[in-house]
Amino acid sequence: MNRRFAHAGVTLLMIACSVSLARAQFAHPDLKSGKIVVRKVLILPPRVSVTKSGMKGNETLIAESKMVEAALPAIFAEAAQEKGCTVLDNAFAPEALEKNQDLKFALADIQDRFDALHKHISEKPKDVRNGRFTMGDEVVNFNPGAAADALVFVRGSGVVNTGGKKVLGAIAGVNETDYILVDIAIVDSQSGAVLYYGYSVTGGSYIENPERMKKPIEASFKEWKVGKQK
Amino acid sequence: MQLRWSALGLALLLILVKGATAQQPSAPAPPPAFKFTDVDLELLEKSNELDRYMDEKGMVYSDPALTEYVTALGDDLLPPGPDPERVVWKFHVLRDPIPNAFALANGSIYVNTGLLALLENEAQLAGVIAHEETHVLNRHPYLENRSYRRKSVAANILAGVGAAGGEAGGIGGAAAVLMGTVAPAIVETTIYGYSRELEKEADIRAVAAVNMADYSTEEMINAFKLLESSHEVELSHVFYQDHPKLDDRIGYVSDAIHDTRPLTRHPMVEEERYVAATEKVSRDDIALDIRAGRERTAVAVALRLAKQNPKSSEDFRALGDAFRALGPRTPDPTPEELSSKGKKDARKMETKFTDQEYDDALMATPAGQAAMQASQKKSEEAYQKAVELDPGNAAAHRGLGFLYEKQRLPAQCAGEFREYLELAPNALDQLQIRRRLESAEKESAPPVTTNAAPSPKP
Repeated sequence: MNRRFAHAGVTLLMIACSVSLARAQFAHPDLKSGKIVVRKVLILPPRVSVTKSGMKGNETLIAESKMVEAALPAIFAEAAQEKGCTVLDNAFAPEALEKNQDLKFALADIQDRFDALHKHISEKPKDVRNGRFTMGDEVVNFNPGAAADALVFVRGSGVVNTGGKKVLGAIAGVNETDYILVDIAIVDSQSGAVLYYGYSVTGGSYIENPERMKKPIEASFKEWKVGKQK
Repeated sequence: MQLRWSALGLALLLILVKGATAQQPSAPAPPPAFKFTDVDLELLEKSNELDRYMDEKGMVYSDPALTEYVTALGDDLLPPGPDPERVVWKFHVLRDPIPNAFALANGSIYVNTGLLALLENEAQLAGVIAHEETHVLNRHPYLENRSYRRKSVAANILAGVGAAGGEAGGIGGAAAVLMGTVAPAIVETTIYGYSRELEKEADIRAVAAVNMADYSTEEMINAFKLLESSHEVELSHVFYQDHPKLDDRIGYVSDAIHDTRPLTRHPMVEEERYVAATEKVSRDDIALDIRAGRERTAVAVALRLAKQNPKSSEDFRALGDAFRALGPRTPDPTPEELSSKGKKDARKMETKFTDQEYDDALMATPAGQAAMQASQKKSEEAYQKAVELDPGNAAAHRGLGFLYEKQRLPAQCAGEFREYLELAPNALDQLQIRRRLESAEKESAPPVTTNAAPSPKP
């Protein structure tokens, strides 16, 4: 009985404080040694899925997912620029994609290609340190990436619990805090090698306050060293 | 005696009349009346959002002529009269190489590029579209969604009760759960289909609709058989490829076809029109197959296109791309790959290895190396045929460049990339190809030798 109340107490405390949690980062050996230098990056539009978890089941919240997708590039760009990295202009505004179907499809295809690789990276992220992962030719032939040293892929999986779910969780002693898990991968635009991979978890009201994601994301890129500008 | 003959005659007459009326072609039964609930309106809104989302994400294939073709066919199959409440019929082609089709509650019907590349004629496509239209007309998405939500509420209550007696979850565990979050009902039905009863309802009604539009209903069975076949080692199945379900469907649809009298003596099949309308999308689907790791399907589709269009340089270029992507694989799976052990090994490889690692593992075997040589030879032949048919086919030169680069033939590689850049100086990838050309030219340059005089002896 005491243990159950302790669990419920921690859960309620976490909901109240909206703690930001776990993060991790993994660097390619050539990036770490300075053999490969990244000074300019192109951020691809993030893919985020926010799921409402409720008593009537789960469903993807498309509008909320889009809100987080819109917020993440600026958050990462700020973090990258603070490290001295140049972030190239966004070539993927909705208006630009609407006018250029080839660009829209090329973007969709390379994003899908990354997602196929991402499932392996997220299972064994430590293998980034062995230089295991590469996107190969797909990246090399992605024309908008030609001017950048690296492409940045951003993925987010968020959960928003309904009031009913939170109450049920508190009673059952199960943590039902809202949270989002953000993965960011930096991929060499010439070789396709995955140079860096970091992930972070942010708890709390990340949709209403996307700025909450900034510190965890920054912390997940602490070890990323940007090369000096020539 | 006279009475007996009269009775017999009357009985015969009755039998004839009954037989004749049973076989008359009749329009499909009108859909039942439907009362919308708040849950249904939520689903409708979600369907509208999904339409916009899929378009924004580049998932919808853009070809106005093809969309018009599919729309015209879809319209022909609809029942006469006003559209059902809250349905706006829209027909889309989805950029997805898996043979599949689905309908949303709002009347949006999607047919995958993979399905269009697989089917052979318009009658087969009519069967698929009529089936999907029935789901919308008979409100199946709403019914299935209501059922899903009832089950989810029960599951949540049980989970809460169970957790109260055991260990707490914690945020780490919840993250894992998120990764395997149950897809909402709307996505599940698009992949795995509806309940057996609703799918059967859709199939039976589709037979009547196809018949009333004067298409051959027999082609529905042929479409199922095509869907049963595959060039890949299939490790999971969407509804349209699920074999037990397909066998079941062939059974009851055959019965329905047998009980249906064709509208005319020669119902339409329209193979030529279909092949012409879908040539480009089939060719584009080859690239999607390659990207999805379905190289064997890419080769099969490309071979069929090249046979149908022997004077098409682009089709031969696509064939070259397909064989180049096939690499260390045989064009069709071997019996060992199709065995239970083979599929088990394939599942393990898929989870353990990336695509590149999988290819490298195949290349380490003698069979893989032999298959690679054969694939590269066929790829080169196809590209050269493409160039022979149209010397200005820049993409074919580009393909040859990549092929020779892989074969470590830098001089030939450089020659082809140079040709490509001359033919397409404004190509979007010219910067990347120029880099590869420089690299190939460097590799193929003869080694520099010096003729310095020997230094004098002390």
